[in-house]
Amino acid sequence: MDTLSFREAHKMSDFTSVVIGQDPPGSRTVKSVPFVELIGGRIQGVVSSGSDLARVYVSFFEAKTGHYYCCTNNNRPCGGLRGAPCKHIHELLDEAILEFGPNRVGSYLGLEGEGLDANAIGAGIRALRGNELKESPGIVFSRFLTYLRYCELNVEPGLVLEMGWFPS
Amino acid sequence: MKRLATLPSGVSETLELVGRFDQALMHGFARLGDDHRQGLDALTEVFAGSPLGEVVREAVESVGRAEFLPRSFLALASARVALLGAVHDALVAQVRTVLGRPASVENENEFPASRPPGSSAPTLTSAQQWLSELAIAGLNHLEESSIAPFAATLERLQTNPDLVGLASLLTGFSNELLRGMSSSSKKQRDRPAFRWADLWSGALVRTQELPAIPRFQEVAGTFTPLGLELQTHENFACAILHGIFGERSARYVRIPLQSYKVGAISGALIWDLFTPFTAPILSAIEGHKCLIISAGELREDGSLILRSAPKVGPASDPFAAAKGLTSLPTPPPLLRHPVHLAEPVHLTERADLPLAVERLSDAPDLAKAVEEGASELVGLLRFDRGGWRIQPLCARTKKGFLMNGEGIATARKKVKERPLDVLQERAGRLLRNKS
Repeated sequence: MDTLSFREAHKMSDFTSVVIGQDPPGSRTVKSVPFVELIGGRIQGVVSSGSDLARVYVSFFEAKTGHYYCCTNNNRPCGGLRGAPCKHIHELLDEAILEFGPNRVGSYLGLEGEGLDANAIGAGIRALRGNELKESPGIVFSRFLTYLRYCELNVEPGLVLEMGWFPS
Repeated sequence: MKRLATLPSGVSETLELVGRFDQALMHGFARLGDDHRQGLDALTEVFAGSPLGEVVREAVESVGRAEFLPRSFLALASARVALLGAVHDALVAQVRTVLGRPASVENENEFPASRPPGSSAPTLTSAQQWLSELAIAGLNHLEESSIAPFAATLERLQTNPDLVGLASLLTGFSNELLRGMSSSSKKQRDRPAFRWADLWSGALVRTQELPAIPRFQEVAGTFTPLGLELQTHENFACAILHGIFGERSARYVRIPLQSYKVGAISGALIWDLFTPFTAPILSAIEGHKCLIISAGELREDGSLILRSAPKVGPASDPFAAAKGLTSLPTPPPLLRHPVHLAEPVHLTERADLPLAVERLSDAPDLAKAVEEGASELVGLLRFDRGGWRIQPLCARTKKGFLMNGEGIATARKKVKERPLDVLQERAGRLLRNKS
């Protein structure tokens, strides 16, 4: 491409340092689901036990295959898994929609179409008909601990010039 | 203001040169095509004879031979940063001439010296290595496995108090790269090449040394708020309160507040991160009041650091205070970029400039007041998308005035749950169980 055709192909509006809508859409209460993330083709995270403060459930739901699993942080299978995702997995998916917005969750799950809502995502998930896939909670749990670190990191006072690239 | 519609000479040519480099970075240095090579040769030509001339020429030749050394990418990133630094300086001179302010970008005092990396060197070298790998692969051709191994380095950066700028930048950049990967193929074509190249080169040039220790003077006095600005990504938040400090020798300053965070903490909840400053700041904005600062640190970069929580003072008049608006000192050359331009202005007639809508997503009421033709406003002149834009902070309305940040105090009262408390409880229990 020579300079002339580069100029033709590019408008000044291409020189964009800040884009609209970087921040995820919604805040959510983290009481029952302290951690949820979209990574490795999965929606995964941690759900607090309703009865035991020291226990959490580690769950995932896989895009494309629909495979899923849920167990405690001590690797005991969740009693709610009876051939289908348990209530923890459903809570996890609901909170993912709140935190990342239905469009991002939908497109992560490989669902087609614009303007997806929670119902469409629910139907998409049921249509996948995945299987229980037993897996150690270690990796997700340690990612959860890494995530919790963000709440304990200290920052010295002073302007962080670099955040100028991230207006909200 | 009309004079801002024409760009200073050389700016659009420089942006085009940068744009051609960005194509190579997106495509990947491991698979340069003829057009990318021509773009890089153009870079060599432009720098010939300048202090960077020799290193840029060597870097272009070396990547051209498919020899990928972090030092070459550092040179290329420095070249891009230097080009945009030059654009920054030309724009500063332009806007200050139009506003009738001293146009020099050089500060009265020399910049305090940045420091050698010392014990941070291994972490900085790791970051350099990772950024080089991104460039070799090309930002358009990344996979989750290109980002995931960087997590350990990122953790080390985040716990290093000297590197909060680089750490917040790289945290936001790696989040964004991961997010870009998971989007559909249609959206992949809309990847923001210029922005990503900004973040890549900005991070890379910051891996060479530690920032200077800021110089400051201790101050106390009255602060008149002009409006609030918020900068956030998933894992970091900054609130910047713009205002005028002092009475007789009034000057424009910014009060910065900053914290790491998690994605679930957003909107009004972000203010839970800024205690004990949250309550007085939000109530001063809400009630159109001044702030009385008893212990502050006025830094050379024009930021006012609060050492203790301020007290809410008497009623404020931002438009009267804005008569004392002054320019902020320009950052050191390595940190200059048009995105950081924020020239404060007090406008009493309509400016024919587009609204910086990309900075107003949290301020729909203020944006509306300005669009409907507010008779008077205080704001920041910004530069993006190849032109000047206005970011209002405060606008005159029929009932008085509307300031950015109003409404947050009320919104916080409606929130019953405090996610930060819940997560800190979880962290306390589970992190300590683990270790």
